[in-house]
Amino acid sequence: MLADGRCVRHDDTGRGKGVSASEREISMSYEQILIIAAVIVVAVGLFVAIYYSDKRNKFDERQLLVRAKAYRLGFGALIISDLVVMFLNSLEGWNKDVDSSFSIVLALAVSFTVFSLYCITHDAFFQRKDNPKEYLIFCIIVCVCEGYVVISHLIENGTLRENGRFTMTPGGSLLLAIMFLIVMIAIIIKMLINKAEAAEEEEEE
Amino acid sequence: MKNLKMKAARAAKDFSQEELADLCNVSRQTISAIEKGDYNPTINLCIAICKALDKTLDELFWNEDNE
Repeated sequence: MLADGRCVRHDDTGRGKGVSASEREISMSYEQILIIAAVIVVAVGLFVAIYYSDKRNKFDERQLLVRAKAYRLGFGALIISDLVVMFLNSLEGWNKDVDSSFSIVLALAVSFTVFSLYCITHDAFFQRKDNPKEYLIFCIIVCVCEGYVVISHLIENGTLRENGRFTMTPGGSLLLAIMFLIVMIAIIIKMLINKAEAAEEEEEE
Repeated sequence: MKNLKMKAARAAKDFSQEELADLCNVSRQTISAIEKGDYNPTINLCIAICKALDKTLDELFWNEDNE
């Protein structure tokens, strides 16, 4: 901030350039408008998707009970993994090697994985008319994208660490790739089991 | 305990689990769980199953062993 109320903005060359306070306020409000617009677009999109979705396609009563238990288990897993992360963060050696934001995301990922696996194994992950294959394609896309980030970081730097620490940039991608891979494998196994069960049922009849 | 009465009634109507599930607006796995005795349905679902199979609640869900 200069004496006349103007801010100094540094460009790529490192040279300073005067920016008035009003100009700074406007540029910040543009960012805010963009964020608000994005939130509105997502909210409207979700509302339209839910409103026009097939009303008959919903979780049945058994699935809702299973999901309620899965939420409880996921929450329990989150608390336990959070406690473990808090303990690990207090250790000096761990703190040197791993960024705290990565640890927090690790706890969230554990919770999400527990919830997903419980729902998948108890046939409560998909609604009645959902197509698991569509979800599998989504999982493959996420795995490939995150895997690409990890591998390109590994090729560029020769390590997954950044400044000697395991951070969110490659670490978070690795975590997401592993998480979606686990979910994907669980869905495939469950699909095969359900297919075998349905075939067995037909044979019995 | 397996619900063999329901399984027999479904077979008599020549319905697959999937077809009965569609009629009752539930998943095939839920019908399978009821038949295996792994899940006790609510009264609303019992009624929906009875209507789909043209049976009464007694005929499908009353367990005489409990009397």
